[in-house]
Amino acid sequence: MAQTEAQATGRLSSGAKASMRPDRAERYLRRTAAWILLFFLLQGQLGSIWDREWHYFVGRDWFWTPPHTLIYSSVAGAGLIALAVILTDTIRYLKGVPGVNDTSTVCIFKIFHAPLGFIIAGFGALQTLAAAPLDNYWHNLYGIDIALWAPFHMMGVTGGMIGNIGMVYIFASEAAIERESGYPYRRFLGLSLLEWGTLIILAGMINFTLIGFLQFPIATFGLLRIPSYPLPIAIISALVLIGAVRFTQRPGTATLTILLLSLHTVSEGLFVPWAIRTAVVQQDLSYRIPGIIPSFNLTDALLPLIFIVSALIIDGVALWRLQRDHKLGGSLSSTWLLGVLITIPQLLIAPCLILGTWDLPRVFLEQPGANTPPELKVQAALIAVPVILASGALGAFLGANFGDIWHWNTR
Amino acid sequence: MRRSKKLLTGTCFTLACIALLVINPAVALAGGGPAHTETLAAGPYVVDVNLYQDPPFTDQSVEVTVVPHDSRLRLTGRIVMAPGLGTDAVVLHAPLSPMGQTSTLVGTIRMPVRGAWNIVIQLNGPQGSGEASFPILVAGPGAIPIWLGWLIALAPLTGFAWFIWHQYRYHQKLLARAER
Repeated sequence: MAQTEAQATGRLSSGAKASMRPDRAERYLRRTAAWILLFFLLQGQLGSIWDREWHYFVGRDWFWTPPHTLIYSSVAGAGLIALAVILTDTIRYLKGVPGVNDTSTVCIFKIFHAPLGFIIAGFGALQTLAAAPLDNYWHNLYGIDIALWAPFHMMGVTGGMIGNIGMVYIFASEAAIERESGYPYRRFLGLSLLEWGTLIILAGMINFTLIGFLQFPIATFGLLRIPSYPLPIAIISALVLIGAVRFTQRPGTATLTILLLSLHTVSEGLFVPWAIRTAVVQQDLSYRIPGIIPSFNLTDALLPLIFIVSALIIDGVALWRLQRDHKLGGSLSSTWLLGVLITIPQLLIAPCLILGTWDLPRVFLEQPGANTPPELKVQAALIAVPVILASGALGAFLGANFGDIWHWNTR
Repeated sequence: MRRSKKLLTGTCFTLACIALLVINPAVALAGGGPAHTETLAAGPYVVDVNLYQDPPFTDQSVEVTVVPHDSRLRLTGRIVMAPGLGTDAVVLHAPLSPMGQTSTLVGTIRMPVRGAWNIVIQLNGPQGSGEASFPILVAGPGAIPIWLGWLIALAPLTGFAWFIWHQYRYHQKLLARAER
Protein backbone atom coordinates (compact mmCIF):
# COMPACT_ATOMS: atom_id res chain seq x y z
CA MET A 1 0.00 0.00 0.00
CA ALA A 2 2.82 2.37 0.99
CA GLN A 3 4.58 1.63 -2.26
CA THR A 4 1.44 2.38 -4.22
CA GLU A 5 1.04 5.68 -2.36
CA ALA A 6 4.60 6.61 -3.25
CA GLN A 7 3.95 5.76 -6.86
CA ALA A 8 0.78 7.76 -6.85
CA THR A 9 2.31 10.89 -5.43
CA GLY A 10 5.86 10.74 -6.66
CA ARG A 11 5.73 9.50 -10.23
CA LEU A 12 2.82 11.25 -11.82
CA SER A 13 5.11 12.80 -14.37
CA SER A 14 5.97 9.35 -15.65
CA GLY A 15 2.83 9.19 -17.76
CA ALA A 16 4.93 7.92 -20.60
CA LYS A 17 5.74 4.84 -18.57
CA ALA A 18 2.06 4.13 -18.08
CA SER A 19 1.41 4.58 -21.77
CA MET A 20 4.00 1.88 -22.53
CA ARG A 21 2.23 -0.80 -20.52
CA PRO A 22 1.38 -3.84 -22.64
CA ASP A 23 -2.27 -4.01 -21.59
CA ARG A 24 -2.87 -0.32 -22.36
CA ALA A 25 -5.44 -1.01 -25.09
CA GLU A 26 -7.43 -3.34 -22.86
CA ARG A 27 -7.44 -0.84 -19.99
CA TYR A 28 -8.59 1.86 -22.42
CA LEU A 29 -11.37 -0.34 -23.79
CA ARG A 30 -12.76 -1.39 -20.41
CA ARG A 31 -12.47 2.02 -18.78
CA THR A 32 -14.08 3.87 -21.68
CA ALA A 33 -16.92 1.37 -21.62
CA ALA A 34 -17.16 1.72 -17.83
CA TRP A 35 -17.53 5.51 -17.92
CA ILE A 36 -20.12 5.32 -20.70
CA LEU A 37 -22.02 2.78 -18.61
CA LEU A 38 -21.86 5.14 -15.64
CA PHE A 39 -23.42 7.85 -17.79
CA PHE A 40 -26.23 5.45 -18.75
CA LEU A 41 -26.70 4.50 -15.11
CA LEU A 42 -27.18 8.11 -14.05
CA GLN A 43 -29.53 8.63 -17.00
CA GLY A 44 -31.57 5.58 -16.03
CA GLN A 45 -31.83 6.64 -12.40
CA LEU A 46 -32.93 10.11 -13.37
CA GLY A 47 -35.53 8.54 -15.66
CA SER A 48 -36.77 6.26 -12.88
CA ILE A 49 -37.37 9.13 -10.47
CA TRP A 50 -38.94 11.19 -13.22
CA ASP A 51 -41.19 8.20 -14.01
CA ARG A 52 -42.35 7.90 -10.40
CA GLU A 53 -43.26 11.57 -10.31
CA TRP A 54 -44.78 11.41 -13.81
CA HIS A 55 -47.17 8.69 -12.67
CA TYR A 56 -48.17 10.77 -9.67
CA PHE A 57 -48.61 14.12 -11.36
CA VAL A 58 -49.55 13.26 -14.96
CA GLY A 59 -50.44 9.58 -15.18
CA ARG A 60 -49.41 7.04 -17.74
CA ASP A 61 -50.97 7.64 -21.16
CA TRP A 62 -48.81 5.15 -23.08
CA PHE A 63 -45.54 3.26 -22.84
CA TRP A 64 -43.30 5.86 -24.46
CA THR A 65 -43.65 8.62 -21.90
CA PRO A 66 -40.59 10.94 -21.69
CA PRO A 67 -39.25 9.28 -18.51
CA HIS A 68 -39.72 5.80 -20.02
CA THR A 69 -37.80 6.94 -23.09
CA LEU A 70 -34.98 8.10 -20.82
CA ILE A 71 -34.98 4.84 -18.86
CA TYR A 72 -35.16 2.38 -21.71
CA SER A 73 -32.72 4.19 -23.97
CA SER A 74 -30.20 4.03 -21.12
CA VAL A 75 -30.92 0.36 -20.43
CA ALA A 76 -30.63 -0.54 -24.12
CA GLY A 77 -27.43 1.50 -24.42
CA ALA A 78 -25.92 -0.12 -21.33
CA GLY A 79 -26.89 -3.59 -22.54
CA LEU A 80 -25.34 -3.00 -25.95
CA ILE A 81 -22.11 -1.65 -24.42
CA ALA A 82 -21.87 -4.67 -22.12
CA LEU A 83 -22.56 -7.02 -25.03
CA ALA A 84 -19.95 -5.29 -27.19
CA VAL A 85 -17.28 -5.61 -24.49
CA ILE A 86 -18.16 -9.26 -23.83
CA LEU A 87 -17.88 -10.16 -27.52
CA THR A 88 -14.76 -8.04 -28.07
CA ASP A 89 -12.99 -9.48 -25.05
CA THR A 90 -13.95 -13.02 -26.06
CA ILE A 91 -12.24 -12.48 -29.40
CA ARG A 92 -9.28 -10.74 -27.76
CA TYR A 93 -8.97 -13.59 -25.25
CA LEU A 94 -8.87 -16.14 -28.07
CA LYS A 95 -6.21 -14.04 -29.81
CA GLY A 96 -4.15 -13.86 -26.59
CA VAL A 97 -4.10 -10.06 -26.43
CA PRO A 98 -2.15 -8.73 -23.38
CA GLY A 99 -4.40 -7.95 -20.41
CA VAL A 100 -7.13 -10.37 -21.50
CA ASN A 101 -6.42 -13.61 -19.72
CA ASP A 102 -7.74 -15.81 -16.96
CA THR A 103 -6.72 -13.33 -14.26
CA SER A 104 -8.80 -10.54 -15.78
CA THR A 105 -11.80 -12.39 -17.26
CA VAL A 106 -14.24 -15.12 -16.29
CA CYS A 107 -15.59 -17.78 -18.61
CA ILE A 108 -19.34 -18.22 -19.05
CA PHE A 109 -21.20 -20.87 -21.01
CA LYS A 110 -17.74 -22.30 -21.81
CA ILE A 111 -17.53 -19.83 -24.73
CA PHE A 112 -17.38 -16.23 -23.59
CA HIS A 113 -14.43 -14.71 -21.75
CA ALA A 114 -15.09 -11.27 -20.31
CA PRO A 115 -14.83 -9.29 -17.08
CA LEU A 116 -17.47 -10.46 -14.61
CA GLY A 117 -18.91 -6.96 -14.20
CA PHE A 118 -19.81 -6.61 -17.88
CA ILE A 119 -21.51 -10.02 -17.80
CA ILE A 120 -23.58 -9.11 -14.72
CA ALA A 121 -24.41 -5.66 -16.13
CA GLY A 122 -25.45 -7.26 -19.43
CA PHE A 123 -27.77 -9.70 -17.66
CA GLY A 124 -29.24 -6.87 -15.59
CA ALA A 125 -29.95 -4.80 -18.70
CA LEU A 126 -31.44 -7.82 -20.47
CA GLN A 127 -33.72 -8.53 -17.53
CA THR A 128 -34.92 -4.92 -17.37
CA LEU A 129 -35.52 -4.86 -21.13
CA ALA A 130 -37.40 -8.16 -20.98
CA ALA A 131 -39.52 -6.76 -18.14
CA ALA A 132 -40.57 -3.71 -20.20
CA PRO A 133 -43.15 -5.33 -22.53
CA LEU A 134 -44.37 -7.54 -19.72
CA ASP A 135 -44.85 -4.49 -17.51
CA ASN A 136 -46.75 -2.79 -20.30
CA TYR A 137 -48.91 -5.91 -20.61
CA TRP A 138 -49.64 -5.76 -16.86
CA HIS A 139 -50.61 -2.08 -17.14
CA ASN A 140 -52.86 -2.93 -20.11
CA LEU A 141 -54.68 -5.41 -17.89
CA TYR A 142 -54.78 -3.77 -14.50
CA GLY A 143 -54.45 -0.04 -15.10
CA ILE A 144 -51.87 2.63 -14.56
CA ASP A 145 -51.72 2.78 -10.77
CA ILE A 146 -50.46 -0.69 -10.00
CA ALA A 147 -47.92 -0.26 -7.21
CA LEU A 148 -44.20 -0.82 -7.51
CA TRP A 149 -44.93 -4.14 -5.83
CA ALA A 150 -46.21 -5.63 -9.10
CA PRO A 151 -44.45 -8.62 -10.66
CA PHE A 152 -42.92 -6.97 -13.70
CA HIS A 153 -42.08 -3.74 -11.89
CA MET A 154 -40.07 -5.88 -9.49
CA MET A 155 -38.51 -7.73 -12.40
CA GLY A 156 -37.38 -4.42 -13.91
CA VAL A 157 -36.19 -3.04 -10.58
CA THR A 158 -34.18 -6.15 -9.70
CA GLY A 159 -32.71 -6.09 -13.21
CA GLY A 160 -31.65 -2.51 -12.58
CA MET A 161 -30.11 -3.44 -9.25
CA ILE A 162 -28.24 -6.37 -10.83
CA GLY A 163 -26.95 -3.96 -13.48
CA ASN A 164 -25.79 -1.60 -10.70
CA ILE A 165 -23.89 -4.41 -9.00
CA GLY A 166 -22.33 -5.38 -12.31
CA MET A 167 -21.08 -1.84 -12.77
CA VAL A 168 -19.55 -1.82 -9.32
CA TYR A 169 -17.65 -4.96 -10.34
CA ILE A 170 -16.46 -3.27 -13.55
CA PHE A 171 -15.05 -0.19 -11.81
CA ALA A 172 -13.76 -2.10 -8.79
CA SER A 173 -11.91 -4.70 -10.87
CA GLU A 174 -10.23 -1.95 -12.89
CA ALA A 175 -9.32 -0.17 -9.65
CA ALA A 176 -7.84 -3.41 -8.31
CA ILE A 177 -5.86 -3.94 -11.53
CA GLU A 178 -4.62 -0.35 -11.32
CA ARG A 179 -3.64 -0.79 -7.66
CA GLU A 180 -1.77 -4.03 -8.32
CA SER A 181 -0.12 -2.99 -11.57
CA GLY A 182 2.53 -0.75 -10.03
CA TYR A 183 1.97 1.91 -12.67
CA PRO A 184 1.35 5.47 -11.51
CA TYR A 185 -2.18 6.85 -11.33
CA ARG A 186 -3.89 9.99 -10.11
CA ARG A 187 -5.70 10.25 -6.80
CA PHE A 188 -8.22 12.79 -5.57
CA LEU A 189 -8.75 12.91 -1.80
CA GLY A 190 -6.85 9.64 -1.60
CA LEU A 191 -9.04 7.81 -4.09
CA SER A 192 -8.36 6.93 -7.71
CA LEU A 193 -10.82 7.99 -10.41
CA LEU A 194 -12.02 4.42 -10.67
CA GLU A 195 -12.67 4.29 -6.93
CA TRP A 196 -14.64 7.53 -7.23
CA GLY A 197 -16.63 5.92 -10.02
CA THR A 198 -17.35 2.94 -7.79
CA LEU A 199 -18.56 5.19 -4.97
CA ILE A 200 -20.84 7.09 -7.35
CA ILE A 201 -22.43 3.80 -8.39
CA LEU A 202 -22.74 2.67 -4.78
CA ALA A 203 -24.46 5.96 -3.92
CA GLY A 204 -26.68 5.33 -6.95
CA MET A 205 -27.69 1.96 -5.49
CA ILE A 206 -29.12 3.66 -2.40
CA ASN A 207 -30.69 6.30 -4.62
CA PHE A 208 -32.27 3.56 -6.73
CA THR A 209 -33.78 2.04 -3.58
CA LEU A 210 -35.09 5.41 -2.42
CA ILE A 211 -37.02 5.78 -5.67
CA GLY A 212 -39.61 3.34 -4.44
CA PHE A 213 -39.53 4.23 -0.78
CA LEU A 214 -43.19 5.19 -0.62
CA GLN A 215 -44.31 2.69 -3.21
CA PHE A 216 -43.71 -0.47 -1.24
CA PRO A 217 -46.82 -2.07 0.17
CA ILE A 218 -48.01 -1.72 3.72
CA ALA A 219 -48.77 -5.05 5.35
CA THR A 220 -51.94 -4.66 7.41
CA PHE A 221 -52.80 -6.96 10.34
CA GLY A 222 -55.90 -5.51 11.96
CA LEU A 223 -54.76 -2.22 13.42
CA LEU A 224 -51.16 -3.14 12.78
CA ARG A 225 -49.69 -1.61 9.63
CA ILE A 226 -46.12 -2.44 8.77
CA PRO A 227 -44.57 -0.47 5.90
CA SER A 228 -42.18 -2.75 4.03
CA TYR A 229 -39.89 -0.07 2.60
CA PRO A 230 -37.53 -0.08 5.62
CA LEU A 231 -36.48 -3.61 4.66
CA PRO A 232 -34.86 -2.85 1.28
CA ILE A 233 -33.50 0.43 2.61
CA ALA A 234 -31.85 -1.26 5.60
CA ILE A 235 -30.36 -4.01 3.42
CA ILE A 236 -29.04 -1.76 0.67
CA SER A 237 -27.68 0.99 2.92
CA ALA A 238 -25.73 -1.51 5.03
CA LEU A 239 -24.50 -3.29 1.91
CA VAL A 240 -23.38 -0.07 0.25
CA LEU A 241 -21.81 1.72 3.22
CA ILE A 242 -19.92 -1.27 4.60
CA GLY A 243 -19.06 -2.37 1.06
CA ALA A 244 -17.61 1.09 0.31
CA VAL A 245 -15.26 1.03 3.30
CA ARG A 246 -14.19 -2.57 2.68
CA PHE A 247 -13.61 -1.83 -1.01
CA THR A 248 -11.47 1.27 -0.52
CA GLN A 249 -10.03 0.17 2.85
CA ARG A 250 -10.33 3.79 3.88
CA PRO A 251 -12.37 5.31 6.72
CA GLY A 252 -14.46 8.20 5.48
CA THR A 253 -15.72 6.61 2.31
CA ALA A 254 -19.08 5.68 3.85
CA THR A 255 -19.74 9.34 4.66
CA LEU A 256 -18.40 10.34 1.26
CA THR A 257 -20.89 7.95 -0.36
CA ILE A 258 -23.72 9.68 1.49
CA LEU A 259 -22.46 13.06 0.26
CA LEU A 260 -22.51 11.71 -3.29
CA LEU A 261 -26.03 10.42 -2.65
CA SER A 262 -27.01 13.94 -1.59
CA LEU A 263 -25.77 15.25 -4.93
CA HIS A 264 -28.03 12.69 -6.63
CA THR A 265 -31.13 13.60 -4.63
CA VAL A 266 -30.68 17.38 -4.77
CA SER A 267 -29.97 17.47 -8.51
CA GLU A 268 -32.90 15.13 -9.23
CA GLY A 269 -35.13 17.20 -6.97
CA LEU A 270 -34.26 20.27 -9.02
CA PHE A 271 -34.52 18.60 -12.43
CA VAL A 272 -37.62 16.41 -12.20
CA PRO A 273 -40.30 19.01 -11.34
CA TRP A 274 -38.96 21.30 -14.05
CA ALA A 275 -38.91 18.42 -16.57
CA ILE A 276 -42.50 17.47 -15.78
CA ARG A 277 -43.77 21.03 -16.05
CA THR A 278 -41.93 21.51 -19.36
CA ALA A 279 -43.13 18.22 -20.86
CA VAL A 280 -46.73 18.87 -19.81
CA VAL A 281 -46.67 22.23 -21.61
CA GLN A 282 -44.87 20.92 -24.68
CA GLN A 283 -47.07 17.84 -25.11
CA ASP A 284 -50.32 19.64 -24.27
CA LEU A 285 -51.03 17.28 -21.37
CA SER A 286 -53.00 17.99 -18.23
CA TYR A 287 -52.21 17.21 -14.60
CA ARG A 288 -54.08 14.35 -12.98
CA ILE A 289 -55.28 16.58 -10.17
CA PRO A 290 -55.81 20.11 -11.47
CA GLY A 291 -53.70 22.58 -9.52
CA ILE A 292 -51.30 19.95 -8.16
CA ILE A 293 -48.12 20.94 -9.98
CA PRO A 294 -44.68 19.50 -9.12
CA SER A 295 -42.10 21.62 -7.36
CA PHE A 296 -38.84 21.07 -5.47
CA ASN A 297 -39.49 18.70 -2.56
CA LEU A 298 -37.13 19.37 0.33
CA THR A 299 -37.96 16.08 2.09
CA ASP A 300 -36.93 14.04 -0.96
CA ALA A 301 -33.71 16.03 -1.25
CA LEU A 302 -32.90 15.48 2.43
CA LEU A 303 -33.52 11.71 2.39
CA PRO A 304 -29.74 10.97 2.52
CA LEU A 305 -29.82 12.33 6.10
CA ILE A 306 -31.40 9.00 7.06
CA PHE A 307 -28.02 7.37 6.54
CA ILE A 308 -25.58 10.01 7.78
CA VAL A 309 -25.30 8.70 11.36
CA SER A 310 -24.93 5.13 10.07
CA ALA A 311 -22.13 6.24 7.74
CA LEU A 312 -20.35 8.05 10.57
CA ILE A 313 -20.58 4.93 12.75
CA ILE A 314 -19.08 2.76 9.99
CA ASP A 315 -16.27 5.24 9.34
CA GLY A 316 -15.66 5.57 13.08
CA VAL A 317 -15.37 1.81 13.49
CA ALA A 318 -13.04 1.62 10.48
CA LEU A 319 -10.81 4.37 11.88
CA TRP A 320 -10.79 2.71 15.28
CA ARG A 321 -9.72 -0.59 13.72
CA LEU A 322 -6.97 1.01 11.66
CA GLN A 323 -5.58 2.84 14.69
CA ARG A 324 -5.28 -0.52 16.44
CA ASP A 325 -3.64 -2.14 13.41
CA HIS A 326 -6.65 -4.33 12.68
CA LYS A 327 -7.49 -5.13 9.07
CA LEU A 328 -10.59 -3.58 7.51
CA GLY A 329 -11.32 -6.57 5.30
CA GLY A 330 -11.31 -10.31 5.63
CA SER A 331 -13.49 -11.74 8.36
CA LEU A 332 -17.28 -11.63 8.05
CA SER A 333 -18.00 -12.98 11.50
CA SER A 334 -18.99 -9.85 13.44
CA THR A 335 -20.29 -7.68 10.61
CA TRP A 336 -23.92 -8.52 11.44
CA LEU A 337 -23.53 -6.62 14.70
CA LEU A 338 -22.37 -3.52 12.86
CA GLY A 339 -25.38 -3.95 10.55
CA VAL A 340 -27.76 -3.96 13.51
CA LEU A 341 -26.00 -0.96 15.06
CA ILE A 342 -26.20 1.19 11.94
CA THR A 343 -29.87 0.36 11.31
CA ILE A 344 -30.97 1.79 14.67
CA PRO A 345 -30.35 5.47 13.76
CA GLN A 346 -32.11 4.91 10.42
CA LEU A 347 -35.16 3.61 12.30
CA LEU A 348 -35.25 6.82 14.32
CA ILE A 349 -34.37 9.37 11.65
CA ALA A 350 -36.51 8.01 8.77
CA PRO A 351 -39.95 8.42 10.42
CA CYS A 352 -38.92 11.83 11.72
CA LEU A 353 -37.82 13.00 8.29
CA ILE A 354 -40.60 11.45 6.21
CA LEU A 355 -43.59 11.67 8.55
CA GLY A 356 -42.41 14.34 10.98
CA THR A 357 -42.60 12.09 14.05
CA TRP A 358 -40.18 10.43 16.45
CA ASP A 359 -42.99 8.13 17.57
CA LEU A 360 -41.83 4.88 15.95
CA PRO A 361 -44.82 2.70 16.95
CA ARG A 362 -47.15 5.30 15.45
CA VAL A 363 -45.47 4.77 12.10
CA PHE A 364 -46.57 1.15 12.21
CA LEU A 365 -50.01 1.81 13.61
CA GLU A 366 -51.22 5.02 12.10
CA GLN A 367 -54.79 4.37 11.01
CA PRO A 368 -57.14 7.29 10.46
CA GLY A 369 -59.59 7.50 13.33
CA ALA A 370 -58.20 4.49 15.19
CA ASN A 371 -57.50 4.69 18.91
CA THR A 372 -54.54 2.39 19.37
CA PRO A 373 -54.03 0.85 22.81
CA PRO A 374 -50.46 1.17 24.19
CA GLU A 375 -49.91 -2.61 24.38
CA LEU A 376 -50.56 -2.90 20.66
CA LYS A 377 -47.97 -0.21 20.03
CA VAL A 378 -45.44 -2.30 21.93
CA GLN A 379 -46.44 -5.39 19.93
CA ALA A 380 -46.00 -3.49 16.68
CA ALA A 381 -42.53 -2.38 17.63
CA LEU A 382 -41.62 -5.86 18.86
CA ILE A 383 -42.60 -7.43 15.54
CA ALA A 384 -41.33 -4.83 13.09
CA VAL A 385 -38.10 -3.61 14.65
CA PRO A 386 -36.33 -7.00 14.89
CA VAL A 387 -37.22 -7.76 11.26
CA ILE A 388 -35.77 -4.42 10.14
CA LEU A 389 -32.65 -4.89 12.27
CA ALA A 390 -32.21 -8.38 10.82
CA SER A 391 -32.38 -6.81 7.34
CA GLY A 392 -29.60 -4.44 8.36
CA ALA A 393 -27.54 -7.39 9.60
CA LEU A 394 -28.07 -9.23 6.31
CA GLY A 395 -27.08 -6.12 4.33
CA ALA A 396 -23.93 -5.72 6.44
CA PHE A 397 -22.94 -9.32 5.84
CA LEU A 398 -23.44 -8.90 2.09
CA GLY A 399 -21.62 -5.56 2.12
CA ALA A 400 -18.60 -7.04 3.88
CA ASN A 401 -18.55 -10.02 1.51
CA PHE A 402 -18.92 -7.95 -1.67
CA GLY A 403 -16.67 -5.14 -0.39
CA ASP A 404 -13.77 -7.54 0.10
CA ILE A 405 -14.33 -9.06 -3.34
CA TRP A 406 -14.47 -5.62 -4.94
CA HIS A 407 -11.17 -4.78 -3.27
CA TRP A 408 -9.38 -7.95 -4.38
CA ASN A 409 -11.06 -9.06 -7.57
CA THR A 410 -9.31 -8.29 -10.87
CA ARG A 411 -11.65 -10.27 -13.07
CA MET B 1 -13.91 -17.97 -33.60
CA ARG B 2 -16.60 -19.14 -36.04
CA ARG B 3 -18.67 -20.11 -33.04
CA SER B 4 -18.27 -16.59 -31.65
CA LYS B 5 -19.51 -15.11 -34.93
CA LYS B 6 -22.56 -17.36 -34.89
CA LEU B 7 -23.26 -16.37 -31.32
CA LEU B 8 -22.86 -12.71 -32.18
CA THR B 9 -25.41 -13.06 -34.99
CA GLY B 10 -27.81 -14.97 -32.73
CA THR B 11 -27.50 -12.47 -29.92
CA CYS B 12 -28.05 -9.52 -32.24
CA PHE B 13 -31.13 -11.21 -33.71
CA THR B 14 -32.59 -11.88 -30.25
CA LEU B 15 -31.98 -8.28 -29.17
CA ALA B 16 -33.56 -6.99 -32.37
CA CYS B 17 -36.65 -9.13 -31.70
CA ILE B 18 -36.93 -7.78 -28.14
CA ALA B 19 -36.51 -4.22 -29.42
CA LEU B 20 -39.23 -4.76 -32.01
CA LEU B 21 -41.56 -6.17 -29.38
CA VAL B 22 -41.05 -3.11 -27.22
CA ILE B 23 -41.07 -0.45 -29.90
CA ASN B 24 -43.71 -1.59 -32.33
CA PRO B 25 -47.23 -0.65 -31.28
CA ALA B 26 -49.63 -2.14 -33.78
CA VAL B 27 -51.77 0.34 -35.67
CA ALA B 28 -55.27 -0.39 -36.89
CA LEU B 29 -55.74 1.64 -40.02
CA ALA B 30 -58.85 2.38 -41.98
CA GLY B 31 -58.18 -0.17 -44.65
CA GLY B 32 -61.81 -1.16 -45.22
CA GLY B 33 -65.10 0.21 -43.98
CA PRO B 34 -65.80 1.24 -40.40
CA ALA B 35 -66.25 -1.51 -37.83
CA HIS B 36 -68.65 0.57 -35.78
CA THR B 37 -70.69 3.71 -36.43
CA GLU B 38 -72.43 5.93 -33.88
CA THR B 39 -74.78 8.73 -34.86
CA LEU B 40 -74.53 11.54 -32.34
CA ALA B 41 -75.95 15.00 -31.83
CA ALA B 42 -73.03 17.08 -30.61
CA GLY B 43 -74.92 20.23 -29.73
CA PRO B 44 -76.26 21.61 -33.02
CA TYR B 45 -74.23 19.18 -35.15
CA VAL B 46 -75.45 15.74 -36.14
CA VAL B 47 -72.52 13.54 -37.01
CA ASP B 48 -71.63 9.94 -37.73
CA VAL B 49 -68.62 8.76 -35.75
CA ASN B 50 -66.89 5.83 -37.41
CA LEU B 51 -64.53 3.53 -35.53
CA TYR B 52 -62.32 1.37 -37.72
CA GLN B 53 -61.80 -1.32 -35.14
CA ASP B 54 -64.38 -2.62 -32.70
CA PRO B 55 -63.55 -3.37 -30.03
CA PRO B 56 -60.33 -1.36 -30.00
CA PHE B 57 -57.35 -3.15 -28.49
CA THR B 58 -55.14 -1.70 -25.77
CA ASP B 59 -52.20 0.36 -27.03
CA GLN B 60 -53.35 0.05 -30.65
CA SER B 61 -54.05 3.23 -32.57
CA VAL B 62 -57.52 3.17 -34.11
CA GLU B 63 -58.62 5.65 -36.73
CA VAL B 64 -61.83 7.58 -36.09
CA THR B 65 -63.71 9.69 -38.61
CA VAL B 66 -66.40 12.23 -37.79
CA VAL B 67 -68.77 12.82 -40.71
CA PRO B 68 -71.29 15.70 -40.38
CA HIS B 69 -74.69 14.97 -41.89
CA ASP B 70 -74.58 18.47 -43.35
CA SER B 71 -71.64 18.17 -45.75
CA ARG B 72 -71.36 21.98 -46.11
CA LEU B 73 -70.24 22.34 -42.51
CA ARG B 74 -66.58 22.95 -41.78
CA LEU B 75 -65.98 21.80 -38.22
CA THR B 76 -62.97 21.59 -35.92
CA GLY B 77 -62.66 19.65 -32.73
CA ARG B 78 -61.00 16.96 -30.69
CA ILE B 79 -61.62 13.56 -29.18
CA VAL B 80 -61.46 13.03 -25.44
CA MET B 81 -60.95 9.48 -24.20
CA ALA B 82 -62.27 9.30 -20.63
CA PRO B 83 -61.84 6.12 -18.58
CA GLY B 84 -65.16 4.61 -17.58
CA LEU B 85 -66.21 3.09 -14.30
CA GLY B 86 -63.63 0.60 -13.01
CA THR B 87 -60.94 1.55 -15.50
CA ASP B 88 -57.74 2.86 -13.90
CA ALA B 89 -56.40 5.38 -16.41
CA VAL B 90 -56.16 9.09 -17.09
CA VAL B 91 -58.17 11.24 -19.51
CA LEU B 92 -56.51 11.43 -22.94
CA HIS B 93 -56.97 13.83 -25.85
CA ALA B 94 -56.52 13.52 -29.60
CA PRO B 95 -56.97 16.23 -32.24
CA LEU B 96 -59.45 15.98 -35.10
CA SER B 97 -58.23 17.32 -38.42
CA PRO B 98 -60.02 17.78 -41.77
CA MET B 99 -59.69 14.96 -44.28
CA GLY B 100 -58.57 16.75 -47.43
CA GLN B 101 -61.13 19.24 -48.72
CA THR B 102 -64.14 17.33 -47.32
CA SER B 103 -66.20 18.09 -44.23
CA THR B 104 -65.06 14.83 -42.62
CA LEU B 105 -62.76 15.04 -39.61
CA VAL B 106 -60.22 12.35 -38.87
CA GLY B 107 -58.36 11.48 -35.68
CA THR B 108 -56.70 8.58 -33.92
CA ILE B 109 -57.53 7.13 -30.55
CA ARG B 110 -55.40 4.84 -28.44
CA MET B 111 -56.34 3.60 -24.97
CA PRO B 112 -53.65 2.07 -22.76
CA VAL B 113 -55.89 0.06 -20.41
CA ARG B 114 -58.58 -2.50 -21.12
CA GLY B 115 -62.15 -1.95 -19.92
CA ALA B 116 -64.83 0.69 -20.16
CA TRP B 117 -64.05 4.03 -21.80
CA ASN B 118 -66.14 6.95 -22.99
CA ILE B 119 -65.33 8.57 -26.30
CA VAL B 120 -66.25 12.25 -26.17
CA ILE B 121 -66.42 14.18 -29.43
CA GLN B 122 -66.02 17.94 -28.95
CA LEU B 123 -66.86 20.03 -32.01
CA ASN B 124 -66.69 23.70 -32.91
CA GLY B 125 -68.37 25.27 -35.94
CA PRO B 126 -70.46 28.16 -37.24
CA GLN B 127 -73.29 27.35 -34.82
CA GLY B 128 -71.08 27.27 -31.73
CA SER B 129 -69.67 24.31 -29.88
CA GLY B 130 -71.12 21.01 -28.87
CA GLU B 131 -70.11 17.65 -27.53
CA ALA B 132 -71.45 14.14 -27.37
CA SER B 133 -70.11 10.84 -26.13
CA PHE B 134 -70.60 7.13 -26.45
CA PRO B 135 -69.22 4.25 -24.41
CA ILE B 136 -66.84 1.64 -25.78
CA LEU B 137 -65.20 -1.41 -24.34
CA VAL B 138 -61.46 -1.74 -24.96
CA ALA B 139 -60.19 -5.27 -25.31
CA GLY B 140 -56.96 -6.34 -23.66
CA PRO B 141 -54.54 -9.21 -24.03
CA GLY B 142 -55.43 -12.51 -22.36
CA ALA B 143 -54.59 -12.38 -18.68
CA ILE B 144 -52.18 -14.84 -17.16
CA PRO B 145 -52.71 -15.89 -13.54
CA ILE B 146 -51.07 -13.54 -11.07
CA TRP B 147 -49.00 -16.36 -9.57
CA LEU B 148 -47.57 -17.06 -13.03
CA GLY B 149 -46.70 -13.38 -13.39
CA TRP B 150 -44.76 -13.51 -10.15
CA LEU B 151 -43.11 -16.78 -11.14
CA ILE B 152 -41.86 -15.28 -14.43
CA ALA B 153 -40.79 -12.05 -12.74
CA LEU B 154 -38.92 -13.68 -9.91
CA ALA B 155 -37.33 -16.51 -11.91
CA PRO B 156 -34.16 -14.46 -12.64
CA LEU B 157 -33.71 -13.95 -8.91
CA THR B 158 -32.82 -17.63 -8.51
CA GLY B 159 -29.82 -16.94 -10.72
CA PHE B 160 -28.93 -13.93 -8.60
CA ALA B 161 -29.27 -15.97 -5.40
CA TRP B 162 -26.88 -18.51 -6.91
CA PHE B 163 -24.52 -15.65 -7.77
CA ILE B 164 -24.52 -14.40 -4.16
CA TRP B 165 -23.76 -17.93 -2.94
CA HIS B 166 -21.00 -18.25 -5.55
CA GLN B 167 -19.51 -14.94 -4.47
CA TYR B 168 -19.60 -16.02 -0.84
CA ARG B 169 -17.54 -19.10 -1.79
CA TYR B 170 -15.28 -16.89 -3.91
CA HIS B 171 -14.75 -14.60 -0.91
CA GLN B 172 -13.64 -17.56 1.18
CA LYS B 173 -11.23 -18.57 -1.57
CA LEU B 174 -9.78 -15.07 -1.91
CA LEU B 175 -9.48 -14.78 1.87
CA ALA B 176 -7.57 -18.07 2.06
CA ARG B 177 -5.28 -16.89 -0.75
CA ALA B 178 -4.68 -13.53 0.97
CA GLU B 179 -3.82 -15.25 4.25
CA ARG B 180 -1.24 -17.50 2.54
